[in-house]
Amino acid sequence: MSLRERMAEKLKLPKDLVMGAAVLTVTGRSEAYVENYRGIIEYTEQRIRLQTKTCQMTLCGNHLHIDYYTEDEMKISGEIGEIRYC
Amino acid sequence: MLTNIIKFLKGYVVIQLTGYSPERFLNLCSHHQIVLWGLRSTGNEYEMCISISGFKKLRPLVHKTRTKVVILERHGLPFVLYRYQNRKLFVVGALAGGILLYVMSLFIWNIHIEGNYSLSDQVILNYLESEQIVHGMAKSRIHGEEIEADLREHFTEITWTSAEVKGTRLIIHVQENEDVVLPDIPEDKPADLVASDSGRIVSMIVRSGTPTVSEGQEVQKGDVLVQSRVEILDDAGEIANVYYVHADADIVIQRTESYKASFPMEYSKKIYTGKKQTSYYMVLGTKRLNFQLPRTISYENSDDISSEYQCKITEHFYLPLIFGKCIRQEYVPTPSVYTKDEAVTKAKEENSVFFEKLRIKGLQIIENNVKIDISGGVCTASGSYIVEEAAVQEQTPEIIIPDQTEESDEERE
Repeated sequence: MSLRERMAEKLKLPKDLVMGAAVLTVTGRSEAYVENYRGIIEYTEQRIRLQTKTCQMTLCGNHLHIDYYTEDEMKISGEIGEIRYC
Repeated sequence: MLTNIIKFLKGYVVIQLTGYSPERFLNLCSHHQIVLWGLRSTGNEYEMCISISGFKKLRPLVHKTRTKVVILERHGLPFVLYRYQNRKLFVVGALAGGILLYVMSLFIWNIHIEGNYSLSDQVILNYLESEQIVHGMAKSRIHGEEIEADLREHFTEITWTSAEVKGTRLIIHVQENEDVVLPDIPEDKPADLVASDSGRIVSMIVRSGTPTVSEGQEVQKGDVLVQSRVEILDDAGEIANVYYVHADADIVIQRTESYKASFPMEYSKKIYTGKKQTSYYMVLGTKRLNFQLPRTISYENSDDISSEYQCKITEHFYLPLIFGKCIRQEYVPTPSVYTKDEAVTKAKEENSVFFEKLRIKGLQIIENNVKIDISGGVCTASGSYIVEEAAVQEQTPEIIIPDQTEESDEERE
């Protein structure tokens, strides 16, 4: 466990702030909210690849749409098949 | 919902993006705080919505990422305004319409009266008009409580009122006291009962006061029937105390009246020739406009039957514009004589109309001895009839009443 992670644990600070971790909220399999990301690497109807501070996040599925897209938050809708980190 | 309204007000465009690296374009947009929404990828092309202000900042980004942007749709108020900028009068008209509607809603256009039985709408409306409560007055000048108080004060029959403004209507709810007996003298003041007509007393029920007459007695007009003075006698039969009360009694007086009516047997009968003319007219304020056919023949003797229609907005708001139709029927006056049967029927009719009027006044007809006689070209109905009536009225007693307060002072001394 890194020092930052331990500090966040002890001081009960939100980890997304301290560590810059991405927050992914998925509702069912049709909606996903992503916060704290860096940018889009790839966007097609079948695949959305996002760059976060520590890793890349890939959402695969069908008919993937980005409902809105701002610097700190985005909403993805469509048929989500898998979520992968690498 | 709110975001949709803001989007509409600020305006947005749907753009199509093509080129080498659209993802880079999207990232640059978010770095420059340009909000994008409704993104969809259709093969090599991307469609998205962008605000007008965001679209204006796109040029350097497009250049940097070597992509191509095409506007597909335009939405929102700025585009609507642009489209109608050469139609200023349309906008002026729409605004004027709105203002007119608002201004019109500041006035009362209908006065509605509810719950009145004996008082007609017109009577109440006339009174309200005298108090400057009229159709077309400003709503802000209406003070419900004042109207209510004025109505109750002016019409004693009204026991409860409520004035309510609903939209552009003034609704006045009224509740009337159904059997109003208006006493001339207030209930708390002493009063005698006197006969208002001469006759014989048939029945007498006294509730308060001292009766001075009895059933079966003949009385003259103005005679005191029930005195307001009530004497209290002591054991020796002397007056111990005197009270004055408001006399109250049901007294029925019977009297005999005579009836006489006559009409000549000869009369002029109207025989209609069947010829008639119809004309139309219009009354605007005090001016009358006639629309007549050019070839009008004037009749020597004619009856005019007019029917009018006054234009009105809402229930009671009449406009000074009347449309009318006038039918002129020609007749020839012919001298005729009533037959015996006709004359008797006519005389009987007249007689029953006369009695009906008495009945409406509250008189009860006990006996009718009217005979019809035809002689010398005249039909005469004459005879006597007996009626019963509560012919009683109140009167202030002649004696000056000592004040109750003085009496009590004396007692203390």
